[in-house]
Amino acid sequence: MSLNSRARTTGLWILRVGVAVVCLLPFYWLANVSLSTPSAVYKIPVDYFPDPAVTDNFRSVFETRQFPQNIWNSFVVASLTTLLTLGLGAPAAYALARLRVRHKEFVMAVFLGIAIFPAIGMVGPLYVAMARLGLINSYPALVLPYTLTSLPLAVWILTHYFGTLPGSLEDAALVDGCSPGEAFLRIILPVSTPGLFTAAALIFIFAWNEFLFALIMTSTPASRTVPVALALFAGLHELPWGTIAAATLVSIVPVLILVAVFQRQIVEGLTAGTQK
Amino acid sequence: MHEPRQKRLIMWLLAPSLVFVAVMGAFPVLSQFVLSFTEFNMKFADERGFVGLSNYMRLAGDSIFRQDLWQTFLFTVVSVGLELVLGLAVAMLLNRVRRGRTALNTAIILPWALPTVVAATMWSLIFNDRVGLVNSILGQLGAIQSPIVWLGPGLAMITCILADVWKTTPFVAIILLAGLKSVPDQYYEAAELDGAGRWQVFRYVTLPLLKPFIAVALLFRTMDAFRVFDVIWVLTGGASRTETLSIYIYKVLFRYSDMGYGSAMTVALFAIVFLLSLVLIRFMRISQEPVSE
Amino acid sequence: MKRPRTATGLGTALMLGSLTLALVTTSGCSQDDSITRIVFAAGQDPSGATATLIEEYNASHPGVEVSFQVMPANTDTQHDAYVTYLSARETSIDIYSMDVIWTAEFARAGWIVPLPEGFIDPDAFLPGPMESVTWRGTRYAVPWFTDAGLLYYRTDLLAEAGLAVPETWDELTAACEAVTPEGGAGFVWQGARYEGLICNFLEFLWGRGGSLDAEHLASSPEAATAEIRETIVFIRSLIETDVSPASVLTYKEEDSRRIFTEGQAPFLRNWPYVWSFAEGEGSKIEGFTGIAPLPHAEGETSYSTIGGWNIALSAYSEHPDEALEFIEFITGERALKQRAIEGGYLPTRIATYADDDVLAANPHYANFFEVFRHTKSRPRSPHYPQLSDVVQDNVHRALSGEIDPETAARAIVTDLTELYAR
Repeated sequence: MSLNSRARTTGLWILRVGVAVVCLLPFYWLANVSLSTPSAVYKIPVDYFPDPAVTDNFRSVFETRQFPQNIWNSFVVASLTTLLTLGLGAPAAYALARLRVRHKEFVMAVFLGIAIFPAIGMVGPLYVAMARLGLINSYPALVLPYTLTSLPLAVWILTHYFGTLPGSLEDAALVDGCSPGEAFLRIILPVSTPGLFTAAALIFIFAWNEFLFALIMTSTPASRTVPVALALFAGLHELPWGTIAAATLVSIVPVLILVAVFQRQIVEGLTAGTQK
Repeated sequence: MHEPRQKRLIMWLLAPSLVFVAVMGAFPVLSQFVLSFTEFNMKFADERGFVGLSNYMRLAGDSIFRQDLWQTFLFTVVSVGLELVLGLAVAMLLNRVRRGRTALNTAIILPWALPTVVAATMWSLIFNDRVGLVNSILGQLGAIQSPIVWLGPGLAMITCILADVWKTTPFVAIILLAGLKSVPDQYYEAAELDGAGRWQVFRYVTLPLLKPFIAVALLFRTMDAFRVFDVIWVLTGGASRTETLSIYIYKVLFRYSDMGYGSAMTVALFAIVFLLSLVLIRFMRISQEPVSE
Repeated sequence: MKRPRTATGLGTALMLGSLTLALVTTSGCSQDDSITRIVFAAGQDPSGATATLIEEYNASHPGVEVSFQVMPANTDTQHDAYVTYLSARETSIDIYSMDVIWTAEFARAGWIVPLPEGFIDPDAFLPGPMESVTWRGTRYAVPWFTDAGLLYYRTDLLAEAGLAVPETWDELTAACEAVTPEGGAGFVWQGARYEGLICNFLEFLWGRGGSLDAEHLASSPEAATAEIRETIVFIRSLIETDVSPASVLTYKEEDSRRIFTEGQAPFLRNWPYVWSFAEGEGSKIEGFTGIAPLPHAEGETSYSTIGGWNIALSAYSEHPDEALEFIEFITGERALKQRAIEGGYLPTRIATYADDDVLAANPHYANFFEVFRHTKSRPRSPHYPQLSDVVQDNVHRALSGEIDPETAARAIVTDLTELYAR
């Protein structure tokens, strides 16, 4: 490697580390706060590292509340939302991208319209509907509205992704005697894993973080999701930073695991697939 | 091609999602439209009734609405602009990485994974004028004499934008990274064989192929930024010229319980964003031809 | 055809498996129809006192089961949720805890029912909270716990400088000049653009003899405008002369509290909750906290803004009698005493302030009681949220220098008069 090249590589790596640092800054602060005593949080000047470091906050997160149950709820809701959204959206996106759909612009516009419609306006009517159906405090009460809001993004991303695949893929399958439906399921889908995982990641995280609907549609501690549970740590005037930080870090763990396990698919892809 | 067979296939593929949208979305959306033409405050049952366009007339004369519209616009343009540029830079930085891939990619996705409310609360602590990390570091470096009030008049909007950019650049970066990954290597090889320089490769190979992905990111980020709520709500509550349309709508719907006026605003916001999207779509010329015949 | 990679495949299979499990396990609860179920929605009580009380009640009342629907403590979050539920005529919630400022709003909406005649003895409660549960002469809720603005000060710093506790604003500003620590602030309060700003602003206003009452604005709008303008100008002068830091316009309760407990400011306006922080472990000023009524202008009286929460019966409750019985319990002397001792919730019953056990656990309550006799409510109106926004907007912008005090004052008087008239 030439000197120039080496300098360039080092420079790039410095940038990469810089980006990672910026991304992780609040997490570092969360970790710092979660291990501090309540009074240490507000020290002037600040402590860059907790001194003394205490684990009380973490203990209180697991002891006093139903937090682990809340994390499970969030996980289930987010997963179901992702599956349902992809299950509905991927076929639609495929049709829009690869087949001759009349009124294609109209359909895309409908999806766009739903995405644009401010969710705030929908809370009231949707609550009434869910209450009438007796679905309050159940998973569908959240999964259905979340799917409604995520569908447009999924359809748009996947439509574009399917559009970038070479046209020859289906032709090969059809020559082999597959029906167009089979071609979709057996050839296109497996090859589209990167696009699917990208969409899945975005949907999952959106559902995981949503607050307003989760607050309104759940009323018992056992049915709450993580964002609402976090809001429940706060007192009237006080903000128990330590406990909130500890709880946040704990709730990030499942997301972290998912991201780490699937990040290759989310970000990398089967580059070979596009070259068939 | 077998035309009726394909038509049936299209129907089977599209129907589920369209039916779902129709069933789930029709009631809430339509009720908003209908309510916008009524005087309907949840608290004053005796004063309800159909009032035609008067909510919209009121909206047209509402100076708060105009001001919030401007602030929302400002926030959107700066935020999305920064996110696109930074997102592309980050995506390119991460594209060719082999070692440390998992760690870097995970680090990038984490800001997006943090609940917005928590992230914003963290930032309000970090940007706090007395106990915040930022002022602490700046002070120790000797860069500032007295603490900067990041969330006060003057700087509040900038701080909100920074917090939002931190949180959502990963979203853009992921989409663009997926796009970068979809560019077949042979394109790059061919360009290099032709003697193209780095910038030329970027401009004539990468960017054009990335266009649809940039378009999707731009479209969705613009729509989201225009409807921003959580970040600003937690950081400033809308004070110091940071109030956005979503915040105003939230107040009217949930605080004042004025469903009639609130619905009119919701419809108006929807219309504005819809028009904006159409403009963007036209601009990027997104509609793609179907690939197979 | 591609087979899924092992890791992805395993991961996906695991997820699908657990999801199927989740769908299959139903959270069915067996309903015993002979028991009356009452749901009580209220903000989080970290001390656990409320939960214990409810358990006690359930144990001693077979045939009734009260469950505590815990909401986030934040008042706006509760308001959002309750408004949604009540608008939908939700029958599953019988009892709501209510911020003192919601009474007129909820009563006018028909969401809460007036208390039966003679349900409570008004003289047993503090006058401020009693005022807050009354709308147009009818009582709609029972006071539960209360809050009021106080002046906190550093006993050691004042003693060192040989100063008495300031009673007027002039005395306070003079004291600030004498005792403010190097690099610190003088008088900190809550000036961020939120509900707390109104509490602070009204205390400044009332202390100068002004008011935002409907009758006052209607009968003498010019005088009212002048009072508001002068108050804004006065507050601005505090900031301009560095008595209060410019950043006070971003402070809420905790921001200002910590500056005081870190020893960086000799004077603080805040709620009673600060006491346990100031005198608790880890506080830099332990042993040196003093409480006093807020200062007033020369010749005027000082008043504190009333905060706190009340308890009301939902208009859609299907078990009003049983619910009222529970309300009587949870606002009774015993319950208030428990919550005071364990949770530090200030009682609304006068007798509780003389209770030995309560005073033993909270000796400073005696000082609080003095302040609680001079409290006032924020304007009572069904349009309170809008009213609050008008005042917050104009005051904050005038204090930030975005608009001038005269414009702000006029806007407040005009808009409030219009809202009162609706």
